[in-house]
Amino acid sequence: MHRAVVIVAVVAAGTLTVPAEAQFSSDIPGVPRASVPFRGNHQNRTEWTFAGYKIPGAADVGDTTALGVRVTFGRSYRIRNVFELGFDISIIDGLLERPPEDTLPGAPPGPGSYIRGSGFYGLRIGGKWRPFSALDLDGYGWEGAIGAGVQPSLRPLIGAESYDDSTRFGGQFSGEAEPGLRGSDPFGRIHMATFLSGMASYRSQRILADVALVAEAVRESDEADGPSPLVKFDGVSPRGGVMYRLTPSLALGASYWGNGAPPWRDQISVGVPGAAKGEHYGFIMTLGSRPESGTDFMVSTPTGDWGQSVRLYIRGRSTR
Amino acid sequence: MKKLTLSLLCVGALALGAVATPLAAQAQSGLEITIEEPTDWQEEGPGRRGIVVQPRSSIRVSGVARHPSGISELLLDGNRASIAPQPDGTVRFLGYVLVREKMTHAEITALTPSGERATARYSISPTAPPAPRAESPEEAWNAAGSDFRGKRWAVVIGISEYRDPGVQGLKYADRDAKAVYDFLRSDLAGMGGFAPENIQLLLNEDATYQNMRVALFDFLKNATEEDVVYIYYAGHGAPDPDRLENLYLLPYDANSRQLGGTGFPMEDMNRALRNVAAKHKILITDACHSGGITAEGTRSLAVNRINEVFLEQMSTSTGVQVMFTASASNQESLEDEQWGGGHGVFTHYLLEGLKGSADEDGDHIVSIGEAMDYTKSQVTRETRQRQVPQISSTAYDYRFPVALVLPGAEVPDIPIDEIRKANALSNIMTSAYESAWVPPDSILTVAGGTDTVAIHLANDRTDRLPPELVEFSSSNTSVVTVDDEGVITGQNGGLAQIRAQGLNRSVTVSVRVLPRPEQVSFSPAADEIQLVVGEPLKISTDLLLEGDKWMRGVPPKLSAPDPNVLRSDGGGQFTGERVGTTTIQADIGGVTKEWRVEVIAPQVAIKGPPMALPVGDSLRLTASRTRPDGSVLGDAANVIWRSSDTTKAVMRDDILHTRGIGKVTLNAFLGDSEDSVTVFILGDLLLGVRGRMGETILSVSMHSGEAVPLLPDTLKASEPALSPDGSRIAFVVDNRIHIADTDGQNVRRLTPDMEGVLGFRASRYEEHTPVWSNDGARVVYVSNAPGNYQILSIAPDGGDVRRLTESNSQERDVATSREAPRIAFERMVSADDTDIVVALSDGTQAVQFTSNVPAAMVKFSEHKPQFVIGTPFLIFARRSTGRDGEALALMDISNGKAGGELVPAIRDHVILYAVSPDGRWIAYHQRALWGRKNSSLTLIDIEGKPVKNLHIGDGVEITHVAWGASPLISSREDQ
Repeated sequence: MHRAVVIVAVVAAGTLTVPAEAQFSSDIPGVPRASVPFRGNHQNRTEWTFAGYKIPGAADVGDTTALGVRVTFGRSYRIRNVFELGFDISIIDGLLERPPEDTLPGAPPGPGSYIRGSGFYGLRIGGKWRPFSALDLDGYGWEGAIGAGVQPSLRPLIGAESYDDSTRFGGQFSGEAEPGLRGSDPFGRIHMATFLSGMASYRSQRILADVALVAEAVRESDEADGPSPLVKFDGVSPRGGVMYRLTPSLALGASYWGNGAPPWRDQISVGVPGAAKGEHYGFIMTLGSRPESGTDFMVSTPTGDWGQSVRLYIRGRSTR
Repeated sequence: MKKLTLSLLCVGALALGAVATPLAAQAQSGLEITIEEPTDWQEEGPGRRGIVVQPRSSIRVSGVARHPSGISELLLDGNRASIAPQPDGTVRFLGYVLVREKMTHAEITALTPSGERATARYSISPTAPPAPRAESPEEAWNAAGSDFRGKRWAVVIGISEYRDPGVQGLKYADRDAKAVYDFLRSDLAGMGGFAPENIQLLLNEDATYQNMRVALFDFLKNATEEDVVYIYYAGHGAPDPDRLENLYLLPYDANSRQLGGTGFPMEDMNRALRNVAAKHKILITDACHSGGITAEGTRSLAVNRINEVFLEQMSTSTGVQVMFTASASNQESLEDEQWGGGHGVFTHYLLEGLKGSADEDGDHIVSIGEAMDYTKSQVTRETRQRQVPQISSTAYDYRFPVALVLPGAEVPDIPIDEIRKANALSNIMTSAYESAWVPPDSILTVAGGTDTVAIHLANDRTDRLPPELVEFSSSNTSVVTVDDEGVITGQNGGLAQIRAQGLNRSVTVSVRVLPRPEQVSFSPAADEIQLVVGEPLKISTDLLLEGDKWMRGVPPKLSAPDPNVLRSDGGGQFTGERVGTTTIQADIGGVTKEWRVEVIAPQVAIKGPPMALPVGDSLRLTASRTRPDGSVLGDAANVIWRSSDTTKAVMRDDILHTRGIGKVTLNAFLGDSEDSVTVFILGDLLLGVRGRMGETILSVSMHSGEAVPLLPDTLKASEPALSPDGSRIAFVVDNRIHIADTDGQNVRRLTPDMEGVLGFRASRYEEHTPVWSNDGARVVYVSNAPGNYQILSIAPDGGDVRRLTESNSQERDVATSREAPRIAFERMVSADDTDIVVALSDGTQAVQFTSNVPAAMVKFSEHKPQFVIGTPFLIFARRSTGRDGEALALMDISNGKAGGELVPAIRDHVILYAVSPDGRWIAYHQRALWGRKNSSLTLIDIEGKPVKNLHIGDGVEITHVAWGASPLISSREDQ
């Protein structure tokens, strides 16, 4: 009888949160974790993402180069010992893009550099229930959780865009969005996205592993509400990652998020051909010996070609 | 019928009156003698004077002798004289010369150290034997003993039956002794016979070792210098089989296989006689029955060397004047019915002679010389020289009177009971002279009631003084009267004094007489009482007097219960003496009550030692005497202990010495009662270890390094904790708390399955770190069944699970105090900060402690607290952030201040440790978090001073350290 009530309650809660769900706490970038903090009561996350592009153009066209940076902040709170609520928000997201300098003979001069930036946008909130755990006195063992989240359809708090000698500003309080020069508009409303996730974690003294199955619903960015920085993804993506602690202060590992949204899921991407292709995994190095804390360094390639693009993702996480 | 050998020794002495005027003599051999007594006695030679003496007498001779080669021994006509070397090279001598019929001279012979003999001769002229000098035997006796003004004492011993079946009994030794006793008590012994209080007869079972010593050492001590002492012994004597010169008389309770401890040494006989002050000591001993304790068929004459040894020893004794043996050393003593209806031939003719047959000179007096001569000649004749009694070569007075010739007089057959009473009376009389009189402090009685003034002696037996020795009188006969027996009768209320007077001393007793009571209430009220041996009983009364006034605790007059069952301690106090039943009657003012008292054997109960004892230690065990209902009466003495496994524990002098790890049952025996207790011998430490065999628990001795698995091999257990009484151990198997007896038996899971929210549990949980509450009534542990790890407790029977903490943090490593209902545990307040919480054992009144200093650069977290008994301190593991590892430090929880480090940290190591229950020692292991593990243990004292290191073994990883049995008497590491 009791179990039936619980199951019904879980289903109801899940239904109510759909299309909710959002970001969850994680130890491996791109893979939400099932575990909740064992020692402290919340996890802090600060992410720095640096991306560099050097994308060759057509036959007689030069390379497109770009540099992006993004800073986000997030925090998850443990509630009792089986629930966790968290949020993430992008504080800064900027992109500098230089088009190819060389043009085809006879063609008009190409456009100049393009710069855009957004501040305080992409808020995501979510919750997690960890009904299953098998932990020893050090917090090592298995955990299983389900979670749901939502990314509200909000404009960035502020935004700026510059193209050649034309610059404009906008944001949450600047009225209707105007068509952007690129596919992503720093002033555009981010389309609401919802997430559902099933997660599992394993912890031991040397091994840290997470797997998750994430169902996302992200609408196209060019729909009626205007451009969105989100890449459309509407489906289920398996994710997984593992870290192996070589020494008390050093761990190496890898993360795979497949076709799902990457850790920088709402970063404004470079709208060049092939730019959105193939960024499904990254390699990680973690420094730090404190439990449930560390500094993660992950590298990946946004375009799937290490020769064209490299992204460095740095995240500091700590549990307090 | 011929019987076993019987020899009789007799020694006598007589001191004659001294004469005057010394005379010097020069022998041709170089021997110079100056005779001081008798005077005018010169060495033979022309013109020299001899002396004139009566035959069958003796001459006391003293003087000074010299020889160029020195003198080692001096013989007076063959009899050894006492000598005393002088500084000038001469020796003073004293001895006796026996004057025989037709004797013409006596020889004085000196023996030099080199064996040279030098002799001088002195003339003697015997006169005719004296005619009877008196008209009546009494007058003759008085005349013969005119010099004697003392008393006569005697100890007569006869043993025919022996308790030890290995000692062959005799037929007539006891009859011989009884006949001698009867004779000495008769008129024929002269002076109206021996006073009954001056003679003791010990027959058969009365002739125990103890009684013989009392008679010879204590009873005869009453004899003064003027007195004469007779000792007669008939029974077995035996030499030590290995050393024939060690001769023993065999008391009734002698053990033939333990002669040295149960026989009566002849040396003690010598010592006793030396202690006797009397100048005249006569020893008649028939101790020649050594065949009785030799192997069958060995009653050879060779064995009868005892005669020879005995005679030799007694001849050299300084305590005896004359001794008489039944036979020569190479002869047997004979006994048969033909002699007096059943006597030894020697005693038969000795008594015949004493009764008058030996009065050769017809003076109505039988002297010692006449008695011995007659006995010797008659025995020799009767046995056709198969048995020839021997007379010692010591000097004695031939004419010393020993019997009176009274024609027609008979020797009475005195009943044995009367003799025993006389023996007891003689002992009391002996003590009455030398012991203080102890009257009762006071007597409380009622009008119409009676009581007895019992005056005891301050001797070992606290004998009661016979009423016939004292005269009682009352200071106020209107209050209390007293009769000759000391019985008082209350007449009217009031106070009076009872005076007891006799033997030139007196004592006084105060008597308070209460008016006749209107009501009497006895205590105890029950008519039947059950006591345990050694348990006291007090009988008293409560009296309702005039005016409705109660007087409580008045002792009534009580009958004497069977002393073998109930010992009276006076004042209405009794103590159970032996198992049996007796009755006590009480009377106060004519109101009586009777109790039936049953005395039962006490039970023995071991005073519980710790159930767990450390190996290599010692503990004094004690047991109590208890009633059948278990109530304790007091400590039990003479408890016999037994250990079921002496390889693990042994008992010596009530002290248990533990030798090996394991289970031992100790039994205590007290009479027919038995009690047992099971103890577990453990090492100092209990270690959880992981090795090739998996996880297990070892009991480890820090002293010897011995490590023994505590639980069955199939049980993969860890995190042991010993109960305060040492009987049980709690531990973890498969993440669940289990419990077992300390010997590893009776393993059972302690905790029940914990339900989750709404009865549904998805998560798996673990239970760890079991510890026992200070009273052993709860097992406290941590479990994450509630979600986080929290502190819980459970009764040792598996019921009544209680959650002690309700925090939102992980709480681990709980510890309990040994002396108070308190717990301490660590609480994770953040990922890198842990504090210590101290609370009552129910989790209330929790106080959180940290050793962090505000605003300090270095932050610490505190882990694994443990109490230190008798102090306000906690010991804890202090860890700084990063990889510095854990150190051991002290914290004063009275003020929250942390002290210095006891053990410094090692990088990337955590510390596992345990504090001994007595708070004196810490054993720790520093466990590497990364890399190779070691199995080293270190013992330090509470101040951090290293004491000992121990290596458990290669391939063994220590996962938990707990203290096992607490050190007991002392720490071996101190020694």
